[in-house]
Amino acid sequence: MSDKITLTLGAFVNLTGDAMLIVDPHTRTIPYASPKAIDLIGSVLGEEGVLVSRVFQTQDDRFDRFIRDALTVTEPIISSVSLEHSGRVLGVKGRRLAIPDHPPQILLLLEAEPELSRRFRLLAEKIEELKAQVARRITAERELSETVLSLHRAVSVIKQLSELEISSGEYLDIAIIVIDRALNSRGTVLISVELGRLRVTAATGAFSRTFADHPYLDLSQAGFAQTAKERNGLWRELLFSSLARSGGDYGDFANGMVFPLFISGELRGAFFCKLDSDDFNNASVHLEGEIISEALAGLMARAETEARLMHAQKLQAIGELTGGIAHDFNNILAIVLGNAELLLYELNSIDLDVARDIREAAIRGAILTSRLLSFARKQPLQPEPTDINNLLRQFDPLIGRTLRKDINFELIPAEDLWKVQIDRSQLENAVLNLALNSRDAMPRGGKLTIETSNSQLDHEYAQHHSEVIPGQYVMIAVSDSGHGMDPGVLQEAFTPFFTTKEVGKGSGLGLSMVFGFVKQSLGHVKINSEIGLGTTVRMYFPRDSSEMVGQDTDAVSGNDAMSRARESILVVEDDPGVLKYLTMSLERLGYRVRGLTTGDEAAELMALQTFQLLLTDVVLPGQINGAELGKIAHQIAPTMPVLLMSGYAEESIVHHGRLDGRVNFISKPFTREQLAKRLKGLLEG
Amino acid sequence: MTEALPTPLRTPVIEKDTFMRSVLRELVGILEQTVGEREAEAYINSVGLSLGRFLNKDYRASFSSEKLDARQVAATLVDLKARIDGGFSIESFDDEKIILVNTACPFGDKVLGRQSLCRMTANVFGHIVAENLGYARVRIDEAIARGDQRCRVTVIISEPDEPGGAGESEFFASTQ
Repeated sequence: MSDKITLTLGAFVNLTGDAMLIVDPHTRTIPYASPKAIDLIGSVLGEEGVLVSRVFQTQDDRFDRFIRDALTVTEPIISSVSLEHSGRVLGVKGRRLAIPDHPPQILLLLEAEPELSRRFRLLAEKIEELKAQVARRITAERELSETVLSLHRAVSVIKQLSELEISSGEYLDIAIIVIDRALNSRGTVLISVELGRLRVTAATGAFSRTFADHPYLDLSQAGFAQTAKERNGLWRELLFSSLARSGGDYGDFANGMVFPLFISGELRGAFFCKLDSDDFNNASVHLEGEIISEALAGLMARAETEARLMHAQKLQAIGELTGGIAHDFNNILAIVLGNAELLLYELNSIDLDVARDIREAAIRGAILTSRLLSFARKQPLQPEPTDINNLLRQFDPLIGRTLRKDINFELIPAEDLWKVQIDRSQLENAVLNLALNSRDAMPRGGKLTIETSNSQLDHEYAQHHSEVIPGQYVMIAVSDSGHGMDPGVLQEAFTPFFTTKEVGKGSGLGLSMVFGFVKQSLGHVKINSEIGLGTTVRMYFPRDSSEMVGQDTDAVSGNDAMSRARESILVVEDDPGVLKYLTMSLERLGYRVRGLTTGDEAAELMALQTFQLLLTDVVLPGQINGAELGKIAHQIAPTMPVLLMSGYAEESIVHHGRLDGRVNFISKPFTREQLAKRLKGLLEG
Repeated sequence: MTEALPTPLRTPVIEKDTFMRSVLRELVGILEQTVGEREAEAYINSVGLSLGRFLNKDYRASFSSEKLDARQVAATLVDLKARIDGGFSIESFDDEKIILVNTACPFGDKVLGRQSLCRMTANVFGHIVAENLGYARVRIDEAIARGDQRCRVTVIISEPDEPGGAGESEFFASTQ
């Protein structure tokens, strides 16, 4: 602006004494300020070409809008401005100022805000504040209404889901139709885990046919869960990409809510729902989706629990059936074995290959039934306080002989391992079975490791494994580097007679025996297996709280036991074949034998006649069974030892699968040498 | 207090429109008395400009046009006033100017003695014309508010060389 104009303007302004400014709207500078304006605002106005932003608050659009409007009128408009350095509010009038040979400028007249303007301003601010409050309340109430509506719908869905018949096999199809309708969805997809991979289990609407031919996604459950754990949020992208590759289009998943499905604490799938854009941007619908997905996961968890229960019931039923068969089978084997031994005894100068074959077959049959009984948890256990490290060290050479040379075997015992109450021979059988399975899983060689450790199974672990009681356990892990098992095989691993081995190579009872034995020992067994990497079977046995460690038992040698005896023995056995064999065997050993077939007869005879030992079957016809007969015998002749025998442990002599400490028991079938050893021990001890 | 309330013997004349005009008249009266007529005009200039901005946007949308031509502008000024109970009509219309006359003020008899309200008309007309045709100089030759029989408003649309005189308000198109 020329000095001439400035001087002219200055003369006018000095006359009025007004606080006046000229603003150049193009450069946003203040080329002129009157002395009164400098007094009012400060020395910053004394600087040449000072920017308006250094003088007035221009952060919001109000000042600029005023300047723009003022530039369009020659009659003044009025407003207020705030000073930048102090925030003080001033009244301002502004209008366009035409200056010859210059672009139009803006003339501003500042004055301390008049009371009326101040009140108008405060009133306007109050009105704005109230309007904002009303808007916020309306928004909040609308959101609340929507939330209530969403919750109503969610409750309705939960009710419908809870009434679904989950044994129908189609419950998930029905469930997502229910959810689809509730959420007014354009399409839903339910992804769950099958054989370790993610799979589209059910779909509706826009996706009802999309995955029909390619339901499996190229995502493993392990990878999916790991991504979700390590990189929050990335799993969604991972899932959408995989769905797109399996038949969908990535764009199909826009405006979609996706929720993880946690079942028993594990990420086991996801639920996707495509919405209209209005619903997609609605927080209430997201809340509804979250609640519904929780309910869906609960439904799936319930279905899994019921399936596990049914599986357990199936195993239980097989176990009971197996136990019954084994009992009868043992009696038959006892006859075969006994008679074969008699043949050997009577005719040992002749070629007795046939009789030996009978004996061997009977022994193999006995091992088979022993395993069946273990699975059925009917094998009587004789637990003793045991240092498992010592037991495994003694057992080490036998395992070594069982394995091939291309298998590297290592025993890693933990230091300060706790003691357990365990049936030692059954534990040896279990470890041997696992070692044999490992050997067969490594046809090209590999490594077998047996490791022990103290272990604490906590409440969280127990929550996921219903049979586990939280506490201290000793863990024995048998690991191999073999071919591993797929999830389908793993699921059936404990089922009796289930085997992946060639016909004749395996009975399918090895892991069943381990399962039954561990359960009967109040323990827990867990298998982890990865295809191509190997398998680890972990057995957990409760820590023994007592300090006593059992001594090696039974030092009576077979030869001593087989020496001639003279004592009289009362034998009670309802199976005539078994009774005949026992009578003959005992007589061959030199005993005087009286055989009876019922407990009632035996009780009567004991009242009349003295015997040095009572040998009785547990299951007997009539009023008195073997256990009761033993008690009667104890009353009649307190010093007379009683030896019970049975095909499996009866409730009358065991408590929770373990023999009462005062009961002497021998499992059928037994060899003559085993029987002789027990009798001699009892008669001499 | 539950018995029927009494009703007036005749229907009162008050109705919403009359009520609002009365409110406006009283507010402007207080404003003129408190800050003076010139100062009050500055307030009404600001309100008129804001209303002009809103109405211009509305009429542009109604004509489906980004910028109105001279005939559309003239039609807008007449239509606008008719809609708010004004009685404006075109007295003359050429390339230089539009002259409008009015026999009924939108503020009715409430405008009498409230000349600052004429700034509302000047600013609405001036803003709409300038935003669409680039320039407007508004002069109110006669005004019912002043006690004339009618209003007569001259809107010069061609920018003259000499600046506006007394009683004339100039309007320019905004840069944005």
